Amino acid sequence: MPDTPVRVLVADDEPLVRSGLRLILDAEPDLQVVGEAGDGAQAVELARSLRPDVVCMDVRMPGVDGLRATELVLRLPDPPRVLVVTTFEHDGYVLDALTVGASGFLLKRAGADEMVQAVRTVAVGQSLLYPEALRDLIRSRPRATTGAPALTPREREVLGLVAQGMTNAEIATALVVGVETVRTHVASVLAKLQARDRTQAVVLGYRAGLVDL
Amino acid sequence: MQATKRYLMRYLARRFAWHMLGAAIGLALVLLVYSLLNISAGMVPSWALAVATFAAAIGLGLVPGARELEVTAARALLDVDDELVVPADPRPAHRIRTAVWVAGHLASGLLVAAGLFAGIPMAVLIGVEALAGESLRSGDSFYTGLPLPDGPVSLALRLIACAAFALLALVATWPLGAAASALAGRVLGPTPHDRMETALARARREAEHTRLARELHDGIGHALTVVSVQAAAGRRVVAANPEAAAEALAAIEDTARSALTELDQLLAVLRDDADDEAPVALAPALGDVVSAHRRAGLDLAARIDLPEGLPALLGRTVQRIVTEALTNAHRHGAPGPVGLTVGHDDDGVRIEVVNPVRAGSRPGRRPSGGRGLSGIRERVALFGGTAEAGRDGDSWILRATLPCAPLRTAERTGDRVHGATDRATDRTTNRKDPDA
Repeated sequence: MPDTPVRVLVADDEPLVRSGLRLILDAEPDLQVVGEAGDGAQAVELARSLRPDVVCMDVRMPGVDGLRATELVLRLPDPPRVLVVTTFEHDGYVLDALTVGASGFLLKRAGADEMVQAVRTVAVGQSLLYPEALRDLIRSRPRATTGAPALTPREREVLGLVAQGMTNAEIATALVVGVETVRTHVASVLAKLQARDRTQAVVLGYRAGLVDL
Repeated sequence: MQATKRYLMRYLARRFAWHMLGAAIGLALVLLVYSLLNISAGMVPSWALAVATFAAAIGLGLVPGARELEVTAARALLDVDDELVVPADPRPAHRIRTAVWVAGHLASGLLVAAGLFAGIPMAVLIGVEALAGESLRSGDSFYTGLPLPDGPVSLALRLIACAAFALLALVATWPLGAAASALAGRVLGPTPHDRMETALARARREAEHTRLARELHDGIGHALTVVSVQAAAGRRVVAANPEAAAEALAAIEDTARSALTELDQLLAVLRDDADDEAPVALAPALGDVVSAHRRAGLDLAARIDLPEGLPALLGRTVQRIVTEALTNAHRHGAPGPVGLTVGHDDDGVRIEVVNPVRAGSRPGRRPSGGRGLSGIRERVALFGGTAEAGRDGDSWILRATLPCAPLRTAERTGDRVHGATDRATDRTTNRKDPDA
């Protein structure tokens, strides 16, 4: 657990959802809600000025929606990680948001523990959030057949394990190599796929036919 | 074999019954027409009798109830599987088709009856004369008047012709019945117009399902989301921060209660739709919305003029738009008087909300960005309407138009329209009343 709390920005057009999330997250000593935004434009503004570590972003918001806001937030220098918050599991917007670089998604109906854990997981960025649900979501779209970057067999293997939600340490154990080696492979995969993080790497890797889910 | 034979007998019996029904009515009609013509015009040529009878048959087909009788007869006696319709409100096309069908039924029945009861005896008679080689007569007149055959070949041909004719008359009910059965669906079934109306009705139903799904998603889905998030929050902090937990409980209570009200209204709409009569109680509902906002401190002047016969979902959409617009005015507007106008003309329902905006607030920022306007736009778009909002000096103006089929005129709906306006005015004048 880091010494300084994780700074969270909550963006949702429903005040009662914002206040609920704030209560839940603020109750954790290691999390701190630093701001609330009522729409996408405000979320981008506050992300710039407050420099949060994680933005909990409602996908469907009036005006600038969560998808567009995610894109804009991720273009900021040293951007925060974006956790997409959604009412419905099978929302095409969620996958779009993950494709443009959101680090994970969370259902609004999830319990408090799950919400807290999701924010922590995304903040740390060491493993995938809800690999199962992510897999179902990604599978709902057809994959492209062309334009796959050339990964080495080892890199593909690593990406496959990342897609299963494994941390670097777990992958190292599974492949009987050092954690450093795994880290190098993951970094190489992210670079080749031009992915921001593990989530985006899995989404893009699946779409390019590099990972089977 | 036995079963097939029994089936065939029943089949023919039903076809025969159908023809006899036509023959009985046809014969009655012929006799009626014959006697009427005889009384009024003396002896008439047989073609005139035929024409007059045909006209009478057409007239009979136009009598209310003829369609029902023919449809029942066709289903029961012709085994018609096609869809047959008895329109509650028959159009000319239905009447004409019914009349043609009745005339055809009577003609077909008379033909079969004539073959059986006149044709066959005549054929037998001719055959017997030919075999006997002697013309049969009663008193001075011949029965047939045909010359006798003058040789064996002629005799054989005559006998074969008689047998063939008798056989044809005997079985005529079969092909004629089959033809009637095949044609019933086309004549007594739905007209192209009916089919189009059915398709349109289905499309309307589907559009309403979409709207209802949206209502559910927006209203109940949203409320349940808020409830689950607030409940999670309340449970989380109940020990450390009981006040916050109590607030969460209050929010849950409010949200659940208003969601139940919404569900109530939605179900009322569904029930109304099931009745297909949709006298949605929009005026009182809007009155409630208006008074709720006044209670919450909005200085609201309302002019509400509603048409009657507003489809339930449209009425509900009007209510939601007004609610959203007033909520927006409340949340984002500056203090000051807010004007609500709901009116209607030939094109549909018009809604206008005017509220003051804070000096210096950037035009087009907050108020337009609220959930309100995009929600309103989507709602209105479902009905093919338009919504626009913008700043005009110190005012923010929202206008929405919801087209609907030509509404009944105000004369017929006077009570209701004035009732709604009066009600709104009452509330306006009672504004200082602490309860209003």
